[in-house]
Amino acid sequence: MVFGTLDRSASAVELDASVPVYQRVGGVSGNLSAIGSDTLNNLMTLWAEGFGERYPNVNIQIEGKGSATAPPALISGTAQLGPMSRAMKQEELDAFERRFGYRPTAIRVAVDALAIFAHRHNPLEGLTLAEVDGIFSTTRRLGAREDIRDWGQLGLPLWAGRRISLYGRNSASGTYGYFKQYALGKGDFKDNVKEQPGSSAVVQGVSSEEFAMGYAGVGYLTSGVRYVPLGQGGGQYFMPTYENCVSGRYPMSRFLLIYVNKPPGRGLNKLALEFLKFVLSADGQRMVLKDGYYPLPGQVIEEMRRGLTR
Amino acid sequence: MSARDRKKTPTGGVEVPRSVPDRFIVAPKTLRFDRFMNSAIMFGGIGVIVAVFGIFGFILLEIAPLFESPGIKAERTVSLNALDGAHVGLDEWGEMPFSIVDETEVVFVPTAGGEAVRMIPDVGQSRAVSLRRWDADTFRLLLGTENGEVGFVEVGHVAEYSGGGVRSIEPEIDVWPWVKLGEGRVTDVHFADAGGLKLFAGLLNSGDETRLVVRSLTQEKTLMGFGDIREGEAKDLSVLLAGSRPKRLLVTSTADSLLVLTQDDEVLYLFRDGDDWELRQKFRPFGEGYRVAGMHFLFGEVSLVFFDELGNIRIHSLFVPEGGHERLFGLTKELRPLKEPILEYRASQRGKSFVVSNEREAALCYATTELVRRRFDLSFDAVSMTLDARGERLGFLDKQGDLHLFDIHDPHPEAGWKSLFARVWYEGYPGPRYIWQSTGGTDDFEPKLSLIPLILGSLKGTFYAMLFAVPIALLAAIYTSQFLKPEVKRIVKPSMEIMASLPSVVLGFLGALWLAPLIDDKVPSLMLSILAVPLAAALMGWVWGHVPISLRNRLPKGSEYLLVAPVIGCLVLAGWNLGPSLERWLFVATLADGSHVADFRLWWPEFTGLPYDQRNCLVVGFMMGFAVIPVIFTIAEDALSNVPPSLTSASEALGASRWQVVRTVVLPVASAGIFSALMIGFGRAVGETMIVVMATGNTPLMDASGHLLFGEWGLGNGQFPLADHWNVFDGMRTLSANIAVELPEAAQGSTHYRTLFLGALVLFVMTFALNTVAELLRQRLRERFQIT
Repeated sequence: MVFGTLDRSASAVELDASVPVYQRVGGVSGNLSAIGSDTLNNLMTLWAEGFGERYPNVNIQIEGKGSATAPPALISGTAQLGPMSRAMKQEELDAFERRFGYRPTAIRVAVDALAIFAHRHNPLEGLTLAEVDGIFSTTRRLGAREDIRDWGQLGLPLWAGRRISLYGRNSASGTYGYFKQYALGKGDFKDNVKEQPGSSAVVQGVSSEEFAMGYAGVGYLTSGVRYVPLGQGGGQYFMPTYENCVSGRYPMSRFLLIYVNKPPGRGLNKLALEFLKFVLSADGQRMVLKDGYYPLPGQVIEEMRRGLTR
Repeated sequence: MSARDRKKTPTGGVEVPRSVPDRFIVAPKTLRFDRFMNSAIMFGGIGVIVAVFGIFGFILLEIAPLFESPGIKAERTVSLNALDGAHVGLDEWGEMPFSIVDETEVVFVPTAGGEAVRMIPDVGQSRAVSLRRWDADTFRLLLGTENGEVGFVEVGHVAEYSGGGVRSIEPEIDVWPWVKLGEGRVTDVHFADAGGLKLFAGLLNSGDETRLVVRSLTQEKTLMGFGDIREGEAKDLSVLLAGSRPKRLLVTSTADSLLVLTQDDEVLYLFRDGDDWELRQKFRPFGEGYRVAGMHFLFGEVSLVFFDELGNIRIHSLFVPEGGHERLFGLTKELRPLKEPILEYRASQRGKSFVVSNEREAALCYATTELVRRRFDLSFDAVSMTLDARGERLGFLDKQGDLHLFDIHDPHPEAGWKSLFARVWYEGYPGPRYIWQSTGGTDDFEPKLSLIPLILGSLKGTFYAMLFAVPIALLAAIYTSQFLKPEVKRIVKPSMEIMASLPSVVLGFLGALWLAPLIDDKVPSLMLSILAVPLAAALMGWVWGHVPISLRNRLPKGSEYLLVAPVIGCLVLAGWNLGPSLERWLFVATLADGSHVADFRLWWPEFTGLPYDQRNCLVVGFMMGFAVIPVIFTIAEDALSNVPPSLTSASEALGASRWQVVRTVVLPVASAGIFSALMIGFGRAVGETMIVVMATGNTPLMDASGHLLFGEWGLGNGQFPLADHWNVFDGMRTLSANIAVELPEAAQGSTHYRTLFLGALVLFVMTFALNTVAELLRQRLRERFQIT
């Protein structure tokens, strides 16, 4: 049984009416640089474009090689914004704190679900997390009874004997880390998971190979691939829809984050502050929808906006 | 020479007649220019050498700290005035150590001096506490009462910042409300919080009977956070103990499994499946008849650290045994860090380091590598130990109540000869393995930094690239230089050289997006096409030999390709189209249900036991070949063309055929040059990065059984020796691709970062060694075939 159908039309996900529209302020100019997540790359570009329309004197540079590139960039000061698709590790927080004496501030900017993609002809109904673990990991920490290598083991008799060709992200990516934590129960990937330098390469790989499976952010859906609904067991599978993500029934939803270097008790610099305000406005959140991710619920936006100016 | 002579000329006023005519004397301008060029070239040359050594030195400097031994130094002593039997704890900033004896008071003493902070936990109305257990990893004082209630006091620290950004560490105390487990006196309790699921496990003693009871608490988790806590029913698990008397409990932080140490030194591993619990495993950590003195988690809670009464440590990890279905504990490591028995154990909360101690000595160990990193003696009598969460500061409480603080500096415990080049038994694996998996999303990830899969990957990629490139490039060079019409050659050679300028990113992109899907299901076609080329050439050679000489002479010398090329083209095309027929005839796989399918992708794993992957060595070999062929071709062609015409003309005049001339005269004379061409091509292939990054899956494959090269000395997992590593239809991860993929994420100065540099050094050493051998061989070849 699969719950949730995916409707990509604009009316499918409503933006919270309480989210304010962005108000342009004076005296904003300069350079802003963002280094980090590849998942957030397109979204950052959209935001930068929208922001640039409002402030022609602002120059924003975006580099997205993976979430793990954000902490070093924030620490060395080469970037003011560190987009990440996972929370920072203690180790990264320690390194930041050693340099500045305080911890970086995380701003939630969008809701993403990590989706398992399969070829568009793939007939699979859905997977449990334990099955996902059995497919992708050597350690099987979530309790898969056996190593799943073959489509036949997933109840597709016509595809018996066909090896599941696995695609994933490179280790710099937050998606890689998040998947490892939640889908593999902190276990290890098999050594035959093909590590791709970007999420679009994962989806591209899956769409070019009938017997493939891969994971990437939900926003990377193309016509060549489909989502595999996920569940916790009991024959219930959930599509990565907005409702399923917010309610937590879809097991792999997360917040996308932008980390900033904000000294406690002091405000952010004006440019970064205005950019984040723009991101957390109705205009910015509409772009989130446009890119295939989900907007933040109103209460989270309010909380984040308060955090910005605290 | 003359310049020097003139200077030496005696100046006795008498003009000495010059011994050489004026026209032989070099102009001073030329000499100056000469000297200038001499020094400029020398400067350039030395500069190059210095630069190479500079790079080498830089790499060495980056790598050296990997092999440093850890430093531990006494920092300061803080007077805690702790009572007898107190437990101590240290915050991660090392500023607010505390001591706790029971639930009545926690005393914090700032290391920088100043007033001690006393905090009194609010545990509600007074209860008859029967058990106090200090959990050093979570800073929880677990409590149990005479009438079956459990709870805990949690000590924590938060960093707070004043308006000016000045940090202060504020102590915190949390009290968990009492939870009733059942009737009886609590003799042990443990607790774990896994977010949505929390679990209390306790031992309840009434009379001479001890029962094991668990009670879980659930909390709904949504994206926004957690909902309310709901208490579940208490559950008596005594049946699972099967008569053994429990002594000590450990709940894993996933709250789904429980470890019970019994009075007779057996460990029971209980696992929760939905609402039911089952006994999964029963084992004796030290074997029959040996006592267990301590049972603790290693950070990550996949491994248990046991020590006996003699000071031996055994680490048991959870893994799915070969052929098994469930994760069970198995002995993976043994250590003996101290001279005397172990009293205290503390694990770092950032990695797999731990510290063990007794009154007089302590040792820092690292679990992954099974090494005692450093053992040191204490100059006081330690009664209690604490390690901060970062594993950077160590504190010992002595008998006088003073806390002795030590700094630990051990930034790279994961590195070492063993973990980089030898097999290591990692957590969760059924045996020692060579694995490269450098990062995880969490702190408790155990880095796996074996360079062996990468070295093998580099060799594999190079091998297949050379296999494809060398025959084509060399034969093309021979044909172009010796047989082809010079007019055509003038077009062919530059076009090949233009091929060399194709950016490798483009080649990699083509490989991944175009070639890999194209040949995925057409391997038999490809095989026939490749076979068709030499076949067509041989066929044409045979036919040509039977054609009357008068007809042959009609075709101008050097234009034979006009005849061969169409034949090759036709046969390749025919081979490509015959592929599916070959597949139906030869490559038929039998499915589980007995039906037959003609598909090479199914047949290959069935026949060889080796996997088939779309992004395989065939694709990489092809694409890398494109990068390597022009390099080999150009240099080899130059070497062949530079064979003096006097030699070839002489042999031709003696009646040798064109092929005889090439075989007996041109090839030997040009062999040194051809050899250089191969070496330069090899260098290009080894170091090639972007093609491999894009066209392969960057899979750091190793033989599944974890053996190097030969499997069990002869056979791999498949049916053929060596095949596991050299499987053509599988991917690889090369050293260079690994650096390209992972260096951007590696934090500067981290073990991961330095290991990537070590990978670079290994690559450098590999090519350097090979080039040196090749150069020696080339010198010998040159001497042997020197034209005198």
